[in-house]
Amino acid sequence: MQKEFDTLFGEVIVALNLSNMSKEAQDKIISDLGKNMFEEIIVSALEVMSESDREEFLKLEESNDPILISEFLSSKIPDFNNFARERARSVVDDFLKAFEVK
Amino acid sequence: MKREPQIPKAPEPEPNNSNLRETLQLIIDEFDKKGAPIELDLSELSSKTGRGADEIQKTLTDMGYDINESPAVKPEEKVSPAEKPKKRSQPTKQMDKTDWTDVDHKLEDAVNRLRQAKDEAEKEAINAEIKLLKEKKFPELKQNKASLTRKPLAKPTSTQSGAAPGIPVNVYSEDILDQIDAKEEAREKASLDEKLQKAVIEYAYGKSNPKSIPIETTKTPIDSSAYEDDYIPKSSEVEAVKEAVLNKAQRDFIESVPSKAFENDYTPRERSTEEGIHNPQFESKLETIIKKALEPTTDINTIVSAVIALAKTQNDAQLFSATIQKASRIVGKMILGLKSEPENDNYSKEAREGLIEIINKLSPQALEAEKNSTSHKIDFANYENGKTNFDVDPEVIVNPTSVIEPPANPEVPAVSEEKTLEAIKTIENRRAERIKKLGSKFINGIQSIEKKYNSIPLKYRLGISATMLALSYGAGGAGAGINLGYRVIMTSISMVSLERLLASQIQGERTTWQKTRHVTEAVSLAILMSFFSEIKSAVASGVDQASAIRDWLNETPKLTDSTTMSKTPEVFPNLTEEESLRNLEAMRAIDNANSSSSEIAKTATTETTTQTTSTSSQTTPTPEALKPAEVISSYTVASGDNLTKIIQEKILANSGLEGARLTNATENILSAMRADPTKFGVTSGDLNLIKVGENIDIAKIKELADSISINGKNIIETANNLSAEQVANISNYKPNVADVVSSVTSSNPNVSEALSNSVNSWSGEGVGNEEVIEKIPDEPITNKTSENATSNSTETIASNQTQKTINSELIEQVKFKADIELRQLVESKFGSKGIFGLFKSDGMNIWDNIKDIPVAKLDEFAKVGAFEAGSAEAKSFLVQPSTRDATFNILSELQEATGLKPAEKETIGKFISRMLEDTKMKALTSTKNITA
Repeated sequence: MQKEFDTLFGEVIVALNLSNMSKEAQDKIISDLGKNMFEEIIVSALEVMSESDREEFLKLEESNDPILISEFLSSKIPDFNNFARERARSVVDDFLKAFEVK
Repeated sequence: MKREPQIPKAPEPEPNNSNLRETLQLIIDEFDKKGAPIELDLSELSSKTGRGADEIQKTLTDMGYDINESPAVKPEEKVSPAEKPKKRSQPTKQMDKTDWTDVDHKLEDAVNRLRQAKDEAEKEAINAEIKLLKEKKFPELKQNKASLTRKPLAKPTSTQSGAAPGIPVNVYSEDILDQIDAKEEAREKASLDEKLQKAVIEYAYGKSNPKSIPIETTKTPIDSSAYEDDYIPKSSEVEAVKEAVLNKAQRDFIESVPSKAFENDYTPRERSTEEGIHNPQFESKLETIIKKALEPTTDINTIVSAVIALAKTQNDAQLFSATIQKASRIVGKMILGLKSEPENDNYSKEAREGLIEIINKLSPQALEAEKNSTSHKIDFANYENGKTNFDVDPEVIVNPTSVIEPPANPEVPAVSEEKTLEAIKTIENRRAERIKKLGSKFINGIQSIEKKYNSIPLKYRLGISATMLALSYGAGGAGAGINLGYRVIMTSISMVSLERLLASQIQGERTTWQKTRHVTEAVSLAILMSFFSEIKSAVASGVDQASAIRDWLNETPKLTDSTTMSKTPEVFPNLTEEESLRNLEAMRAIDNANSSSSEIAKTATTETTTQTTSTSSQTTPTPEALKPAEVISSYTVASGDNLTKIIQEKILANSGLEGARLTNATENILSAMRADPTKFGVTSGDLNLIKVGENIDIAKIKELADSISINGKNIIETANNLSAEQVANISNYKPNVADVVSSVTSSNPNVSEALSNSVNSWSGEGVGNEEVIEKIPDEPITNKTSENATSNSTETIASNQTQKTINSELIEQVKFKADIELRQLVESKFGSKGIFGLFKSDGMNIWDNIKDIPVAKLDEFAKVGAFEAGSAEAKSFLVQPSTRDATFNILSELQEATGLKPAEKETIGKFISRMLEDTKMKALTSTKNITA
């Protein structure tokens, strides 16, 4: 599995043009990008929710219950799966735009 | 960076036994340069080159030279060894400064090559060259030597064995030559050491005042006699001098190099090939220094200083930069080597970090040198024929290569870590503005989520990130995306709790995965779930990939056994069992959410799970369809479970039943179970009260379900045979407590049976028939009641004892019924699948959670954050708005039916009891009236 992961990770590294960096730097950047994609999805979802739905989401978040959160997001955001992927993609695009890489 | 065109380099002559012609030409050229007659000692040449005099003569002839007889040696003019030093100090023929330096350089070069030479023949050839150079430098050596005069292009007149005609043999003794060799060699060595020592002073303190600063003392003191004429320094002393260079550099060179290396008055000093950056020994020296980084006690700054000092010996900005880059590449190769063979990587994390640190510290030096080098070109004019003794590839300087290989796409320029992090920061800043607009509490909320994300172990974060990156990149079903997605499954899921998903789909037997403690942060997992559906779809599109996954599962059986579980508790040591089970629930939800991707399950289970039945779409399934989707004997109750859900998922999942028909079959099973719930693992004895962690005996429930026969049909057939009207009745059924109570009290004092009958009425033609529950009468209960009643039946029914019995049983049953109704009401509002996951209570007895809450408090509960009253369970229960709304609804419905209002402090339980009592009395009155 580790080998497989290294292969995948290597592809992501090449795709993001991070090959010239140290492993530590690559790890940090990938982790940070993940965090940003993650937050982008949450913030974008909150932006399209009503105030009461936002309040409810925060309470659900405190519950630390993934199934509740997942169901809630899916119920409040139409086609949440695609929504999440598009928002994550937007982070990657913004990241690559910074280097004029497409 | 651009540089001026280089002057073409002439090949460096390398005298050796395989290149006699070139050696001879080199020697002849020296004579030609000075316009001096060519005088060769064939015997000496023969001795030094290992070639016979005949061969030398023949070579000279082939080269077009005519060899003539030389004058006889005058023995009386030979100089004794004792006289030599004095004479050497005063050359008889004064050379001009340029010539002297030129010969000196060549001698130095030859001596160095001699030190490095391994082949004896090569050594002799170099010795011959040295000898000629020495003679050139010290003409007095030739005073006792017979000279030859050359007659260009004239053929030799004769040949002799051992000595060519006209060429003197043994014109001076080997003894004298050996002494000269030894002394010259010592002199050259001392000269080198002097230069090194000088270099130390220059490098450390600049050229302006080198003599005022003493040289750094080394472990091996330099013997002052090393610079006396006859002293031959020991190799250890030479090394000590060199070490002094590095030691001095280690002290303060980092700061001094940039400023002093590129002074305007700087001029390149003479350099030997030993110092050239492409010389193998030079590179070896660099490697030796850098490999010290892998030793745990090494100070990285010391290594960096040593590398810089070594680079500084190049004495040129561009070469300095090139050397630093070479050092960086060596470090890079070491890092890559460690990465490429992780299994053999015995180096510590600190060692790797040390290497990274070296690169980080060297890079600014190289960049600085590169920048300064634009104004400090190599002065090639200082070198003969435009040739330096530095074999520097201009490309190294013009196009310095990255430490680590650049990305595969050559059109994509490499980006720096700094710029990359800057880009991420920009993205974060933009989002921060958006979060501000959401309000302060959301800033805290997002920070909370971020904090939780960062608390996940790095490998999990990388797994999550890589998954999202790969799938956001590969979205759209492109081949690359699919393949990438496939690899995501093969990798990242092994790092997060999602790893169990495929196992559950492909191998139904692997139920122990349910106890996994691999739990990641809830929100990240929830979001990852949204990505995961696509991964599964991608995988489902390829049989080979599915097979690969199956193979993977087969190869990693430990993932699902308890042994593995015991190995991983440290990941989330504080995880409670409830959290584990909640995570399990999430996994199961993924299964449900991705049921459309069941192709993968079908494909992969063909060989591995023969008992699993395929998804059926037939409308009239055979009795075999009752087989559960997963062949499991028991099921551990998780938070959010209820028996209806368990039966539908574990027993009826492949029944093909949906909606009202599924409800009918479910309720028939539940009714049959009600006789003895404990038999099936429901320890409370109440089908509505199952506990988290309780093991429900699925095998026994299935056995029971298989045994149910209604009019000769099993429950599946029965459900499928429901009429459209019956289906509509079930679908539209809205339980009304008043109706229930009315039906119970008006039918039979045996409220249990009556209630069962009532419950069965939800399911249309349910188990409410004689074959299943034989006590349920076919005839109207009122008739049976009348058999035991007097004409004044109202009085009998209304007797105190009977009334008391009815009251106590009725209240209990109505509580039970209210509980069911409440759930049904919630389900009717929010759907049946998974809705009970919304309830945060440990058990499923909603009634217990709400009965002690004052009705008046419900108004306060409607206000967020204002539910101080009530039990802890009630708070937990009512915090969910959907549940709170459902409570309001049931109360509203009851109030509408009874017309009653709650007293000021009346609890929900008491109020409902009062309403039910009132309804009951009304029903009794109504019955009496009817009977009457």
